[in-house]
Amino acid sequence: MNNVLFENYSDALTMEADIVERERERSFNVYLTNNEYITKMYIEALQLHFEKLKAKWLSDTRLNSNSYLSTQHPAYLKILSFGQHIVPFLIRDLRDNKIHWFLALSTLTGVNPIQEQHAGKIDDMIADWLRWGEQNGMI
Amino acid sequence: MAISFQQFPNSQREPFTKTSDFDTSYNCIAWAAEDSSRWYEPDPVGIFFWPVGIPRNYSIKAYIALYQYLGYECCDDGEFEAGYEKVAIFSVDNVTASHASRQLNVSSWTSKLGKDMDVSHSIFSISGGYYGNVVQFLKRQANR
Repeated sequence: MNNVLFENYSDALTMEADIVERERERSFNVYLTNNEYITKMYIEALQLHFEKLKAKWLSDTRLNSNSYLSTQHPAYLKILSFGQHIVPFLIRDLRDNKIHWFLALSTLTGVNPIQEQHAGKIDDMIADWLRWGEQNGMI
Repeated sequence: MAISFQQFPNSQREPFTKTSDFDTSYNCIAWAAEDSSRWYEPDPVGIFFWPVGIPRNYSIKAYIALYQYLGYECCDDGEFEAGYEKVAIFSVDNVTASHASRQLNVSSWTSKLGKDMDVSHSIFSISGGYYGNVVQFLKRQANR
């Protein structure tokens, strides 16, 4: 998973700087990810980052009826790169704003809980994902 | 409310009017067939609605097959014909379908713009931009 806390510092100018940066991120992952404060800070940073990427994706693809094409947008792919940690954000956004995260959710979770007879019926599709989210402790 | 988009350069020269708010419940393909209850799309995963037996791809041919399945037949133009409902399929590259509109009357058509709003427009005002141009008109009898 990409670590958004370090994203702004990802372009090291020298090999030495690159090593220092990687060590810093490794230290974060090894020593600090169990820290409640750091975890909270990480979740807040992820939320902020998600909202920015979502706004960019929606702005650029809002006229597009081809959902599959929309999922090739760089902002969408970036959201996917956050992995499992982003799943609760996507489910909450489905519930609150009816934004189509169906393909991303299927990709990230490896499941498709949408009942066959609900295909295309957005409210029913959302209800199927919310049920799955509740059953799996995602929301 | 009259609007114009950079994506639709002709919307500044002929009517292009917002008629609904942002709504992700249906798309242009459904709206053209007078269905605002579903999102029609031949996505490869099978998440959205697409009738069984219709090719599940984004080609113009597949979209024509969809509307034929819904009772439409191909026709030559978008001239208003009393007793008929017409739809227009659009494409940018003449291979992939990008959009569909539904005729309302002699001068107006209606479109759902992706996940966004509905608009009423002329064929000209929505052509030559984000969705390209009409590649096929179809019609079916009204009040079937």
